[in-house]
Amino acid sequence: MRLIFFFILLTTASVSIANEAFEKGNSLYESGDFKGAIQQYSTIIAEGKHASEVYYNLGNSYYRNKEIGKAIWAYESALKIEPTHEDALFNLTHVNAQTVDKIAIDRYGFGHWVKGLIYSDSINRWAYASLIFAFLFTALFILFFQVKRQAIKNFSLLLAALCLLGLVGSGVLGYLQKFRLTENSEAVVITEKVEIKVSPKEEATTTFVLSEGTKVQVLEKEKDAWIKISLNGNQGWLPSGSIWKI
Amino acid sequence: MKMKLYILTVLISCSIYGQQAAVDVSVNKTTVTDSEPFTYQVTADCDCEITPADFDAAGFDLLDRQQGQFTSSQWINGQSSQQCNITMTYVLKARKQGVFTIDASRVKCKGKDARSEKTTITVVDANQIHKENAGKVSYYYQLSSDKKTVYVGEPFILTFSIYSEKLPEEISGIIPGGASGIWKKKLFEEMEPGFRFTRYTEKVKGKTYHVIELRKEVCFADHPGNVHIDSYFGRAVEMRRFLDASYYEGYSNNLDIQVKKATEKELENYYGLAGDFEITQELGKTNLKANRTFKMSITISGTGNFHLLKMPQFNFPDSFLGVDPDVEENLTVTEKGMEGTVTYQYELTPTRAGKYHFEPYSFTYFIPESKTFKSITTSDFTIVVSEGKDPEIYSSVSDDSQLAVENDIRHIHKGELQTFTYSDFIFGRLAYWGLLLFPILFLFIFLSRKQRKAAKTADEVIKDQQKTAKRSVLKELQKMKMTDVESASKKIKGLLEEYLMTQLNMRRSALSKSSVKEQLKSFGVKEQELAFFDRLWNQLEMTRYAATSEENLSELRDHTQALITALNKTLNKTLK
Repeated sequence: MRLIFFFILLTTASVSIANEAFEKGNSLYESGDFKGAIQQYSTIIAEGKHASEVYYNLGNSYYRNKEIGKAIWAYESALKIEPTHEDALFNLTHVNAQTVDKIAIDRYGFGHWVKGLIYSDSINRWAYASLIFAFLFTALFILFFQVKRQAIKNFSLLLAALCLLGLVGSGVLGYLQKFRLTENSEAVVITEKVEIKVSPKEEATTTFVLSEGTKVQVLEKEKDAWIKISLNGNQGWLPSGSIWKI
Repeated sequence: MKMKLYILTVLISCSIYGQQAAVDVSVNKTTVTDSEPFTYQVTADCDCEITPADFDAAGFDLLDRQQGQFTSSQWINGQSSQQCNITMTYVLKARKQGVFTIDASRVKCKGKDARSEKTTITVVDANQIHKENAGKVSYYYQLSSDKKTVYVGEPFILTFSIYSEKLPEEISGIIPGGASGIWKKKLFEEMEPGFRFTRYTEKVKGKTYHVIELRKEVCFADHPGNVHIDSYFGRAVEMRRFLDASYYEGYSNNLDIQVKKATEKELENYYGLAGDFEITQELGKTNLKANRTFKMSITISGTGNFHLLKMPQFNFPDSFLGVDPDVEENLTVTEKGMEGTVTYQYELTPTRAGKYHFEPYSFTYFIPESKTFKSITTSDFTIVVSEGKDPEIYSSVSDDSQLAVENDIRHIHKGELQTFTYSDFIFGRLAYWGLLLFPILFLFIFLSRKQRKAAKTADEVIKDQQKTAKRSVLKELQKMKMTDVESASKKIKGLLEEYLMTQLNMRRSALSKSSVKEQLKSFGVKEQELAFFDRLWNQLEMTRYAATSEENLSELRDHTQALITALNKTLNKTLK
């Protein structure tokens, strides 16, 4: 009992610390101290806590601090948590327009709709939904075998099929959400310019140059401070310090 | 000795050659027309740095440049080797006709230099080739204009067509040639699904061709002089095969259009407009209070080169807010040019009282058919603004401020923060999988039991029934109430009969004292128990004909229970 009480106390304290840092960051932002605001918002993230609003406000602070690449990283991170975050989408479009490399970003169409569906509910709600569907499916399936009246039999079978669909659907959507949140397959260039090399060596030939704020696909894990990336089918290596993973 | 020296020389030269930097240059065509782009590709090892030849000095314009990289691996005698190459592809176009030599391209690999071979390109006249091809080859592309000489602003139509002996299956691509000094717009969207091209047949030098008009564009020349229109590129599918297709592809001829000045004189308000235009003006209330909105619209309608139309300019004073009009264009492209209307809508808010006079808006345009000029104008107007007591919130100001906000990022979000950590997720936890699998496992057990039950033999079913009867009959007897003596005695007999029927597998019609005894004997029931059964059966028979007391009935029930318990033991042993 004491242990539970201690755990609740610890969780509440941790949430209130995050809230405190968030509010402090907001007031610093409004007073024009953008560096201070960045520090406060970053504290929350450093504690392993995530929220689309923290990344969104952090993006605004980076933008005001004239760090375009980092601002794009923050907005992209906010959109990773909540793909339909309207203000983050707006600000990202605004900031993207100021980057040198204009690369089209698909924020519309079927893919975006699917993302919206995945994030339409929290990951844990999908988990609870899948459990409820599993229990309902079992109960209805047993009912189908036990009852003798054909009408009830048919109805229970139909409901069981719907529950099975719900079970698979919620399971898949929850899994996709978790996968998207925890994987780091994309990154944003945070330095003004970065040369993409054909191999992970300083003296290797430069295949192309990317500017701050460009979003790239990370292909391989970091290897001797170099990371293999891809952009529109072009591949190459860049120093790991020049990008931030989303 | 000579032989050994020879082998040694070969080996040394091979090893030297192996360390050399290698560069390869290729072009997709060695003979091109003067308006046809071609590719020049340099290939070298990935570690090399490529310095291309000086294309400018060779007489070529560089249109595009692309870099690529490919790796290949091969296995020979169980040993693998990898080759990495980079390619630089340059898209070039000749400036004039003639024979030109592109100097060597150079590469630097690990400190060593290498040079490619020089490349010779022959550039021929596109129009000459087009003339030679017409009537001889199976297909060719043609670019034509309905006019060779036009006035500034006068529309002319460019038509890009394919001439082919056999009708192509599909049109897959059109790349228009460059042309400076003209403004052009397509008359139809040829790549729209379901679009039907205009086609007809034509005889060229005795040969019959199918002609398809691939693109038609209405053009306006904005300046006098010679306008050169480069060749258009076309690609059509001749025939589709499984995973393959053959194409009709190539460049057309190029065109030169002579553009004449409409007039040598400097005309007031003439800036190249040509066609047939009309102007209408609508004024709102011209007597109004300060901070109230004044509305005005100017509509220009007609046919011509609307793209040169300039926005009306009025000298609105600084105290007028919202001076930029909303522009509404409703134009369609026709062979005569652009046709429709352009409307400028003003919503002005004078903030100070006064009398304001504005000059009319006018312009002059050229009419190509009659080769004359015409000026059209709006009327001048005066706005009288009196002092206003209740200034209203004027829309133009709020629009401007809204525009300013939308030109910046949106503000930060405040309020209660709801954070999460990755460890908060239930997905993937052992408890989640356990809870998810529990009902599924339960269902599996249920279904397997059901299946096992369905697969039982008749003997197994009887055994199950016997097992159940052993318990159920005893239980029923235990629970029996002795209030109604007659029905109770019937029930005891009935339960005993049910027990015997199931245990001895007998039908009700075959159930008699003697037959039961015989069966019990066959199951190895002792004489003592048989005698007990005999007595009990008789007593139960007696109750049917003579009244009995509650005590006797209770005794009878206890005896029945005792008999069944004894028989259960014996039958269990026998069945085992």
